[in-house]
Parts: sequence; structure tokens; C-alpha cells
Amino acid sequence: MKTTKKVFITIGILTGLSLIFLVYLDLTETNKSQKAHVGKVKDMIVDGKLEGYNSLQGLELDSPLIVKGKKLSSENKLLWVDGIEGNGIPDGYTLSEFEITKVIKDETGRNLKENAHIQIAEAAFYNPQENANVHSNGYILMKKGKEYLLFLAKNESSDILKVRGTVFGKLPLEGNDLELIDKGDKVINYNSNTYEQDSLVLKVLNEAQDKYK
Amino acid sequence: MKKAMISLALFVVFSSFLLTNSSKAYVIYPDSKQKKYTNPTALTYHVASSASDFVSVSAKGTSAWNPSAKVEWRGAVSQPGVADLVITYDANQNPSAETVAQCFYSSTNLQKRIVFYKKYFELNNSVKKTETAVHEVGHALGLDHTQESNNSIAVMRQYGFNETLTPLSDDWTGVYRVY
Repeated sequence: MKTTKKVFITIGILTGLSLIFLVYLDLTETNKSQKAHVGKVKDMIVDGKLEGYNSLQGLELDSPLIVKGKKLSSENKLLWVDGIEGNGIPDGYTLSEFEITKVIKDETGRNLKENAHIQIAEAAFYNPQENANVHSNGYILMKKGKEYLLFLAKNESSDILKVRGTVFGKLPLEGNDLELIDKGDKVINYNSNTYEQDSLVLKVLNEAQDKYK
Repeated sequence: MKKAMISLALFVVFSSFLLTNSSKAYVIYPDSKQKKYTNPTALTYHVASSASDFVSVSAKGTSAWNPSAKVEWRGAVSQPGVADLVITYDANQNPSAETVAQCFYSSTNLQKRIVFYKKYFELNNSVKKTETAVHEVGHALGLDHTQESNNSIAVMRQYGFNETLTPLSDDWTGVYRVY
């Protein structure tokens, strides 16, 4: 009887450990470019001036391509502003392979269909000098395997597409998390630690959720 | 009982006052994010691009902050290594760029770097271009984007423009707070 009890306890512990391990693997798999980094990776928000959008309609009109789909893979890209590798503060982006599951609007002239693969430049990257993930205006990289609605724009010199309005043009379609960096604990306010929500982005994304989700 | 009621009323009024103020204020970068300049009255910049009107826009964007008395940009230098701020154009044409410009920083160096992107050239007037430069220099000085309720009194608004060539009241208060 005692032996049976021990066996059950051991199985229970092993099952628990296996589950924790599987959850850990799932979490670390979300971003390949971050997986190999050693030590604690910081988050750096680089602030830029954006024209922004006041409504979903404006975003739709300004986006030649609107699609649903999933990210398959990604590659970190560094750009050395002075043209000399390792010199100065790097800029960069993440080049992501994306599979389309539904085309909502296509004015790119590429006649994109379901299951087509496109390349998207995302406005976040890993900076090895700082051991930090750099987020342009708080943009968070898409997670692999998760479904997104994207408002995209063309680049003149290549087929690589970009997310329109950076934080405006990417909407996760699974769950309620809008994947925007909460700046609440990253800023110091004049006389409090509160931070007003980025209501313009939330307004546009909420409109997109109501229409497309 | 009466005293308790008066105390409660005063507390409510005082709290409302604090909350109102806290939601209408500029935002400053914490030191853990971006180090502020240690010698803010002797700042220099370097323009690393000869593209278009960058030289004059850089001069306007920096000198616009000089009336604060806490900050003085003394002009351009030819060597990027000695400059407090490097201003350049995105010659690499970052394919993800949707911003007009961005201000980069390092955790180990006081020097900041402003990169103007292709969107800058798509702005349809020179006032917006200068406002962008003033805005980015504000980041270099330690100001984050202001809260949205302050948009009309701040060049540090994240989205859109006020069509101004100089910092506005919220920005001045902010830079006085930083230095």
C-alpha cells in the first residue's frame, strides 16, 4: 500500500514537472530571435513622431493591403546608421514570414490569395549592444502561430511590407490582449505614477475588433 | 460627526485636485530608461547627413529649446564623437519605418541619435518638419510623449501636429522639471 502511494506521488510530481516544462517551452518558442539571448533581456521603447489615425476608416483607406494570417518565422535585422557595423547606436527591424489566411483588401497589384506567404518588416528588433528588445513606439512583435489582422503598406524599393501606423496596424485576433506595451511602470509622471491610456490607438483597434474579429 | 464630514469633504476635494493634475502633465523619462545630459547649458550636435534641408532644420530644432534658460544648444560640431546629439537621415531605408523620426539612446552613453525617415520628406509643410525636429530634440533632452489630454499645449504629443516652431507651455514646464 505504501509503495503504491509512493508511486502515485512520484507520477504526480513528474506529471507536474512535465507540464511546467511544456509551458516553459511554449513560452520560449514565441520568438525565435529572443530565444538565444543570454541573461535578462531589457525592453527599450524608442519614441518616434507618428502622424497616427483618428479612425479605423482612415487606417483602412491608407492601407493597400489588409489581411488575416499567422506569422511563421522571423529574423532580426540591424541597421548601422553610420554604415559601419558596430559603430554608434543601431536601428533595426524584424523581418517576419507571414502566411495569409484571408485577404480583405489588396491594392498592391500582387493579386495575393489565401495561403500566400508575404514578408513583413516589424518595428521592433533585438539590439545586442544593449541586450535589449527595442520597440518603436511600443510595438510588440507578433507571436508565431497566433492569428492577426494586419493593415499593411508597401515599400518602394522591395516587396517587404510594413505595418501601417506601427502600433495602429496590428490587431491580435485571439484573446483580448491588444499587445501594446503598458508604459505605466516605465515612465515617471510629474506628480504620480499613473499613465493615461493611449486612447487614440485603443479607439482604432477597438473599432477594428468590432468590425473584423 | 460634523468634523468627520468636513474632513471627508476636504479629502475628496484634495484627492480630486491631485488626480486632475496627475492626468494633465508632461512625462519625463526615468534615469533607468535614458540618462539626461550632465552639462545641459553647453550642448552641441552633429548633422551626419547632407540630405535636403537637414542642416537648417537641425539648427531650428535645437535652438528652439534655448529660451528655457536651463538648456543651451551652442551649435553644430564637425566631429560626431564629441557631439551630445547626432542627427541623421535613414540612408538604409528601414523597411519597417512608419514614423517621421525617432530618437535613439544608449544606456552607457549620454549621446543621443535622431534618425529622420522617409516620412519626413512626405510632410507637406516646413512648419511640421521643424516641429518634428523640436519634438525629437525634446526626447533627447529627456521628455517622453506627453499625455493625450495635453496635446494642444505640447510639442511632445505623440500623434499629429500643433503646427508650431517652438516648444509649448507643457514642454517648457517639463524641461524645467528635468534640469
